[in-house]
Amino acid sequence: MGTLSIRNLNKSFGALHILKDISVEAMQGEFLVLVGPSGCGKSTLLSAIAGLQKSDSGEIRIDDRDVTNVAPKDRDIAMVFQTYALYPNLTVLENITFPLEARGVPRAERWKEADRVAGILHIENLLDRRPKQLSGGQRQRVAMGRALVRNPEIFLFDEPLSNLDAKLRVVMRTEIKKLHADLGTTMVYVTHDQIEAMTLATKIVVMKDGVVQQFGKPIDVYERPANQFVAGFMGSPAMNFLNGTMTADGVQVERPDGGTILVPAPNLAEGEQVVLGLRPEAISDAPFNDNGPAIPFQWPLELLEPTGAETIGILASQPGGDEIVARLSAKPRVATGRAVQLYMNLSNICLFDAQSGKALWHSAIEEGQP
Amino acid sequence: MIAEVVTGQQGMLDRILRWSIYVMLIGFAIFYLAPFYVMVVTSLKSIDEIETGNLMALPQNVTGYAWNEAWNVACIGTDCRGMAPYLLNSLMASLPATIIPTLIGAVNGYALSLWRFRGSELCFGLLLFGAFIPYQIVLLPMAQFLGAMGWSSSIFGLAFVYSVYGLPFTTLYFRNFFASFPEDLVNAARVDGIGFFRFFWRVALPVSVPIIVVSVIWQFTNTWNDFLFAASYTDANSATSMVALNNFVQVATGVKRYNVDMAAAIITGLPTILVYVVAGRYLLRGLMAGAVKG
Repeated sequence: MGTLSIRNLNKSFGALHILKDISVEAMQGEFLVLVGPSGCGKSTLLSAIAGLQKSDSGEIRIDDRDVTNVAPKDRDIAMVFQTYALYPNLTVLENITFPLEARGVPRAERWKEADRVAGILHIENLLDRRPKQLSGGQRQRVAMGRALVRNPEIFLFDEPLSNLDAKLRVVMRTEIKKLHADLGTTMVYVTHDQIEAMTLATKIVVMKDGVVQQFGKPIDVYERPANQFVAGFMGSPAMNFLNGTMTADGVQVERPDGGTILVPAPNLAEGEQVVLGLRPEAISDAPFNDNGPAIPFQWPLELLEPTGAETIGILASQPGGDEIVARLSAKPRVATGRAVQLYMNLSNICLFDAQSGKALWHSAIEEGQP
Repeated sequence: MIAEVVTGQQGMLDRILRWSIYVMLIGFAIFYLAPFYVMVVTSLKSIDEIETGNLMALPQNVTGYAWNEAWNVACIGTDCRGMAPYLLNSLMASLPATIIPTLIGAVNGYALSLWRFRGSELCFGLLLFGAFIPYQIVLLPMAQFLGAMGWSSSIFGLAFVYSVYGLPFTTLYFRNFFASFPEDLVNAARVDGIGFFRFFWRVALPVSVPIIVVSVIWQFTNTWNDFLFAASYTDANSATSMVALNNFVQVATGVKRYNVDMAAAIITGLPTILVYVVAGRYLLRGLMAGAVKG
């Protein structure tokens, strides 16, 4: 029931190799999120799952049935499109019941189903309107209603929230999560928004240039990124990357104002150049009391950006390096313009190979096999 | 202060430009409407008045004589039944030649832009080729074909020719219209299992009203106003109003009855004007919808 299995899927458009040997599995009830920057192939992958796009090689199985060459309508899937794709001349009721009509479901039953779905999505009072009389959020609900009414094995969502304003996006995100909890149906969801991916997913597929970079639980992807790309893509503000050198006692990191700090880590290859990955929340202006081991260190602070709940601290960057961001307390007692006393949480750091960007070591313990 | 002066000058310039546009438009309107005005007033005058009076003057005694003559009495050849029967012939040729190519063109355009298949572009290219064939080239082969089918000198044959030659144009219109149709809608239909024709009837066709209007106006006026095919493929009984009008005006002997000629010409032209007036308000929308994406 509702399992999805993709094996060694390839797809090219001319010379452009869009999907490179993609393999992904989803169990029944999984909320699988495909995330990545634009052009990474996530939408193409979804189209391939839907059957709207033919793949060149590889296999797609739904419910353990090979559907690689099956027409979209026979795959037992329903899809919500980024543009909503509502039929403009039909009413909301007709839009929702159209898929059933096409399947020869009698009218009375169609209406009953429409009522059920409208109840779930709170659109009972919109049934006789046409799409152009609806707001963006309402259209989104109708599009979901049209998918729900089908009772498919798998729901496919193609960036469904990207046309909504920021506030509504958060509301609908929660509703989709609730819907998934209530229905328990397998869902595959494409987004470029890593927060959507983190909040919704039970499994995340991070993609870049047509290659799966990492496939795992959200917390694992967040705490134990497979490479520097995943580490930088997931999380906002993004993970900080500090250049360092491997020594017998740990990683030696050069400070922009001269001097070094030593971050304890296993000695993987002495003398090698590595990149130390540090989440903004792993840097604080106060000692971490109950969050595991931490070390104090000095670093020049350039700017403070209070957001109310917390203050974003911009630290001086290493020569040639990126900006370093720290999540400080709401009212930090530190002054900008000079080196200040900060603390580094050691329970959540990563080491990457400076050349390949591959992860060498994570201090966080794995939550469980994906 | 300076801002006020500037806006004052701009306002003045704006007004001058606006009025010169109005004057120009009114001038063109008069220029184009003048012949029609002359036709209408002439058709309402008696022959005496036409011969003695001014061409542009309004009729002193309005008379329906010319209209009655043209509609009921006028002789085309030896047949003196007026224009009425030929108008009916035209209608019987133009109506199917409007409806059928519009419908088929809609299906063609819909398939060619929304349900692409291997070779659909080539298919469209070949169809488009038909739009560039001068009618004179096919005159003889088509006559032979109609003869072979037993459709010579029949309204049916004429309607057939019109339909065939309308198809490239109606297909082109609908294909371009559907090219700007959101692709996701078709994808949604494919996922939802809504078939080719169900989607066509329930969604695609209702949405394409503006381009249907364009196609109808195009086909109706073109077939109604056609003289070449009508003159070649019809006989005295199946002649369309264009052919009849020509015979009537050219062949008449004795005194030229300008008032009757004018009345007959207006009667012949009236249906196309009617189509424009009824459907015209959609025309601009349709032309733009086909031309501009989104």
